Amino acid sequence: MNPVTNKIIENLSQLILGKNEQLKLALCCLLSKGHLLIEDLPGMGKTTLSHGLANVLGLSYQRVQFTSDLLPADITGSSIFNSQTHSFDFHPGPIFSQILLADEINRASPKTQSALLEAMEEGQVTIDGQTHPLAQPFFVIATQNPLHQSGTHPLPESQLDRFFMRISLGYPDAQVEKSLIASGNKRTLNMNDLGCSISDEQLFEMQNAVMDVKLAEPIVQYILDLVSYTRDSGEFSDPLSPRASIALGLSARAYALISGRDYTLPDDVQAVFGCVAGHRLNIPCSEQESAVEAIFERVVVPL
Amino acid sequence: MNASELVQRNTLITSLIYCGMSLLLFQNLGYVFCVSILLICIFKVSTSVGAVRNPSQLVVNLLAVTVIIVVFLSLGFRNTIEMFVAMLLGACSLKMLQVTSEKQAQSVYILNFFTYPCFYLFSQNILAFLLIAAMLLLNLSQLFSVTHHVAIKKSVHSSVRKFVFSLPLAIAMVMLIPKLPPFWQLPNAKSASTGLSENVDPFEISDLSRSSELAFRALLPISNEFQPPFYWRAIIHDSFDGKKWAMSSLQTRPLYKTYEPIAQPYSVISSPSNTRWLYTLGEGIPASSGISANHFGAIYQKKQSNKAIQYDVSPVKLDDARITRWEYRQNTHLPDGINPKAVELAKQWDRTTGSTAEFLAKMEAFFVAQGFQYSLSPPSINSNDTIDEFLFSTQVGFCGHYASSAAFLMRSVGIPTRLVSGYLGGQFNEESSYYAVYQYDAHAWVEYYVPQYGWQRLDPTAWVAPERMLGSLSDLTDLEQEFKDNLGFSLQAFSNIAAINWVRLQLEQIDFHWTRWVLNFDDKKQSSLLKTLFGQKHKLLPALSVVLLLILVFGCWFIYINLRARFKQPKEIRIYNKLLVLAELKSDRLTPKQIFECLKTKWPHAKNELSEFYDLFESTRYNEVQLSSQQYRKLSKLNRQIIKKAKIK
Repeated sequence: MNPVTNKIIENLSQLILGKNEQLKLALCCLLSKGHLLIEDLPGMGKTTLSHGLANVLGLSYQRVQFTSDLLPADITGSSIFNSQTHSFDFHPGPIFSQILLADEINRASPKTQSALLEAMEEGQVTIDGQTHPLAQPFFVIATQNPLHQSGTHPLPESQLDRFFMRISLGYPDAQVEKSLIASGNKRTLNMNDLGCSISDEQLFEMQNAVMDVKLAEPIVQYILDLVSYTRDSGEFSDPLSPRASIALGLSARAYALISGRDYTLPDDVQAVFGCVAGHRLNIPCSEQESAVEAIFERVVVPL
Repeated sequence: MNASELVQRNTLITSLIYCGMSLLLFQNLGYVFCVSILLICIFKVSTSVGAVRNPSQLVVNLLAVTVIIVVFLSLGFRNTIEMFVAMLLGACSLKMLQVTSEKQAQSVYILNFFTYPCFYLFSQNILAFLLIAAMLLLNLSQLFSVTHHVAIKKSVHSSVRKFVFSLPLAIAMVMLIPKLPPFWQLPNAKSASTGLSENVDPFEISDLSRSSELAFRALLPISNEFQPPFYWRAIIHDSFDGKKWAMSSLQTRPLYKTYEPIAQPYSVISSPSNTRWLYTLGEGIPASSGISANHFGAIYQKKQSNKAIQYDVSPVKLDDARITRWEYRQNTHLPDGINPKAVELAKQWDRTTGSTAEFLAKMEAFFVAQGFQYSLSPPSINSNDTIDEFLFSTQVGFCGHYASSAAFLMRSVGIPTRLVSGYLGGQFNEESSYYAVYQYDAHAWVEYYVPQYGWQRLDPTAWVAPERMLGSLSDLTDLEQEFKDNLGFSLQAFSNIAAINWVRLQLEQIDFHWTRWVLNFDDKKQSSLLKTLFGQKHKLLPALSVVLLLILVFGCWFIYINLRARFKQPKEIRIYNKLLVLAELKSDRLTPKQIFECLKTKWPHAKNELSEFYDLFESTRYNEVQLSSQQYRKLSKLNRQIIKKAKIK
């Protein structure tokens, strides 16, 4: 295990109990400079995880609770007339921070959703003809409820594609839940104790180190085979795009880095494949595991 | 060059090939059809240079209807094969006008592997073979060019190479694989060649002398029995209706008696002809299957084919000293009231002579004294009493005239006589020692019956042109100029130029061997060839060698593919695969890590070695590090240890 990431995950696992794999994946997404989507039922710890991640990485963060009447300006900010200077002053919205926690993103109207997603892609916001660059690094950690819940606007495929990964926490083990019940709601308490475990420079270095991880030829071939399987098998109405292939390579590297290796294994690809491909292939969270298993069973692992 | 340009260029070439093919077959397909294909080709050329726009679907459909009408009007249902080939050529040419996509071109090129060989239905000589082979080769490269977007030059290069590589295998398979009779047969295409006819109007036969086409070749054993003049009998005409000599129903009577050959058998390789009647030197019985003899000692194919065939004949002397009353009547029958002057002349001779021989002498004297002339282009006679006209007024003619007149004169006094048509002479090829007989060697003579002696040959032409008997018509110096005028433009006509004659003889030579060894390579030839190759065990060995050859070829191929993949693989993968094979674990859907987890649960006592093996494998394979020889040894050693431990369990 990489000592730096190990520390981060150790810290986070005090907050989110028994979900080390999901923590690794979430970290992996952020190291790959990707935006993270956390999908789960209410009360599973989505928001806790997103807060924890922002805290641990030591980045400035703002939280927006998405509702159906949220407007684009509520996120990006707006120009307000200053009667003293007789001019419009720009008041930046919550998007001007290093991490934006977009809670329940699918409760907002499509208009607001697209305003956010545009900013995610471009790294800048244009208001009243003026372009304002966003902070560096800039991450969006969005949470969403499963689509069948009432009052949700599903994200269109094109916008889902902009999220690097989608993870789902799932129910905790009985043992973990027992300790949760016993300890009561320690969330606020723990959040402040968590503290920062990584500096900005360290994060920057880690992100660069991801690109130095070796991606051997058979691994590239494996990624290619998996992607072409989704395209050629006819099982998927929305096969994986080249953006997804790139994301797979990048996240496999990040996963290898987190696991303390400087080369990737086919197992790394398998570990990240579900999170990277699941939302792009329109697989519901609940079926993701079995669907991914089915793909692995059909694609030969190149040597 | 982009794909559509390639398609355009290729289809243009193919269009020109169709046009050339139709022009070569114009005798069979008719002028009208050839002109329409030529027009389609011109259309194609003008679209490709951009003078004309590509035709619309409607225009192509209209053209198709036109071509169908042309085919029906000019060929009709009588010539099924010609109609079929014409339809195919027409359809393909029109498709070439329309082709824009690679897929369409591909389907036509695949069809061409059938279309081009249709040429063989009409001609099977070596030139046709070479031409079609070249066309097929070009077609292969065009197919390659269109489907793989390669320039034609490059694709020709690669297909020639493939062709050359596959040639030895093809030859071996033709020679060794047992030959089976064809499962189905097309009706015969009407051969364009001239030849003998079952019904002879002697005043028509002059056409024959104009053709320098080969009639047949004969391989005669060197023996005293075979000396010139060579009278090749083919058709026996024993029925005369006043104009035409025809064959009576007596012809179908088979030869009942068995005869002992009087000399060694000889073989004949005949060119395709219109009739089923074949050629024998005198009387003969066939020694090949598919050929029968009738009781005149004339031989014929049981089933007429338009292919060149080779057969053996044993010469015999028929026991025909006695003839039946029916035969007598058939061979002396004449229609009433024709040629009164000739009948009168014959009766006059008959009154003054006492034997057939004396009668013949009288007749010979008459022909010699009257100054009859031999000519290949006699004046035509338009009269009911053609023989009167010929004997007493024109007095110029060739074999048919003389034979017909003599037979008429003899029949009119009751001597049983029949007309025989066949060939006289033959050109000896010294290098391959065969006699080549051409259509211009066609001849007609007479056979007459003498009680107690049987049927005798009489050649009235010899009285007028004795030199005709000595050799082939082409050797006659007197008639040389006339003969050459008749031949028109052919190599034979230039035979007095040494170089051209040499070329002609060489071509003949090649064609002889081609016909003899390739076209006539049948099961018999094959078995005799195999006998010389394999000796007595020739029944089993060829089949065995074919199987072995195929196994060898495919085996080599598989080994090559396997080795190629294996040599490409790094060492660690080879050892890894070996381990998997020995572990009887076959799952390429699992990652190496997962596989080793499985192995660890399977053989817990080899856990340490497995971990060590995997770590080494992983750190070299996925870290893209070359395996050092030390590591290689270590891996091999671990592999052995694991297998050993696994076996102990």
